[in-house]
Amino acid sequence: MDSQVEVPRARLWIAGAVVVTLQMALVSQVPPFSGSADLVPLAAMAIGLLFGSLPGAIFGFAIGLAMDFLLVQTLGEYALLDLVVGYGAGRLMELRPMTGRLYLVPAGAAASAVSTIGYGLLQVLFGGGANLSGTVIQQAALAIMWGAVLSIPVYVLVRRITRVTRSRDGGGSTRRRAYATGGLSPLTPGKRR
Amino acid sequence: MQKDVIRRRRIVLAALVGVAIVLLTASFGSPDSGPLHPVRSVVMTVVGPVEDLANVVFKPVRDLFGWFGSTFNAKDQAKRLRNERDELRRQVVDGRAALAENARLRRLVGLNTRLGLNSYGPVTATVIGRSPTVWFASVQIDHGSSDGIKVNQPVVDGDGLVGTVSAVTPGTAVVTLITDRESGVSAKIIGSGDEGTVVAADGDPGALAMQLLVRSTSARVGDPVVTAGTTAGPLATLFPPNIPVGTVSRVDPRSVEGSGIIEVRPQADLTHLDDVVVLTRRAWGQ
Repeated sequence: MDSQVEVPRARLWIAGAVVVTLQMALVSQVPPFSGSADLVPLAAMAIGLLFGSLPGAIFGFAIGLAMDFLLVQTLGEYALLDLVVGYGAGRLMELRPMTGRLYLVPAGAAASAVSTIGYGLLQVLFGGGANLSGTVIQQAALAIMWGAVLSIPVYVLVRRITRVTRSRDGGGSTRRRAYATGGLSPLTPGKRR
Repeated sequence: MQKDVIRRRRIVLAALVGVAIVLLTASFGSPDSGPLHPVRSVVMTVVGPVEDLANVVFKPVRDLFGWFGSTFNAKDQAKRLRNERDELRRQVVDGRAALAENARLRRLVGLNTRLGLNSYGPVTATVIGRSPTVWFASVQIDHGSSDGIKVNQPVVDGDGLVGTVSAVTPGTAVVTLITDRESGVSAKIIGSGDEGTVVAADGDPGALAMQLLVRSTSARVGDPVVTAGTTAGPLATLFPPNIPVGTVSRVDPRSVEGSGIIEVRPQADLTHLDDVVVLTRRAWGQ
């Protein structure tokens, strides 16, 4: 698939900048979301779903690294986690193509879970210590819930910025069949033998 | 072709993960120093103005969200404060009830001490039921035979004599008040020294009458009437001596000459009994 979907690099940069700006200037400072909602893994997920695993991984890494810089924290933390999210979302779409939009809700929750839980695991792995208190668990659950809620809006935003057309959006049936069968499926139009 | 794609993907993925791990290792523990600090400084310098601009642009939106948040918080706060107010009201009521109970028990203790009732085996009980008539001729208390209470034992409260135990179960007892028709208390008037029997007054459920042994008296209104505590003879009594029964409320010379009766107001408030003391032992050994 990677070879079949043209990746609008400039628009990915714009999408990344918009998402990072929204996260820093709005979401992280608004009471209901602050400290819980994170648009960045959702954006990485959206790119993975729209363009595939490799663009998803690269976009996730880049946007995560930007967040690492802006938050003045250990470099590579968000980069690694969002890389995993973007790659995972892309692979999921490549291996199990899905139609409609509702799958985005559990996908968003999963992306937020990977980001939130992964961050805690990294802290433990690097000896930073992670206190698993009730508050931490509550915050993690809240983050996952916000991930599920915001997944569709973020996906729509990213899709608009990158100008992915309907035929390539979500369902991706044309892309998936081409990828899975190499265009040799008897169901593929114009490929009759 | 497909293999090339997969290989390329793996190489890029491995490179990204490797870079991330190198960055993690290099900057861990000192995010604001180390070899990558200059790079971070440049990024912050470049991005800073953009971030400031974005903050200004999104301020109205933040304020709007903040207003909603404050409204919800205010609602939550109002609800919490209402709950707190209700709880405090309950505490005030409980506190007042405890104060009243404390005062009653102090009066009981005071009577015990004043009259030396401790030697009569006092058992403190709470009134749990009243006679369902307006006459309140009997009350039910929350202690019974398992606490040593028996029929005919005297019952007092902090003000004075209340009545006698007329029925018992293991856990409860019925107290017939001194205003009951069946009740009669051997008593004397402090001051004149006249003796007689205090019984229920005719026509007034809350009043008492004292049937004197003689047809003349020097008693005056306000004189205290106490139990006689007679242990032998025609006026032998169940009650210990000197327990306040009431005060003389009216002395009608014609009534005294004709029937030897004077009117007595009960000392205890028999319509608002809460805590009473049952005297389970007779000090004189009966």
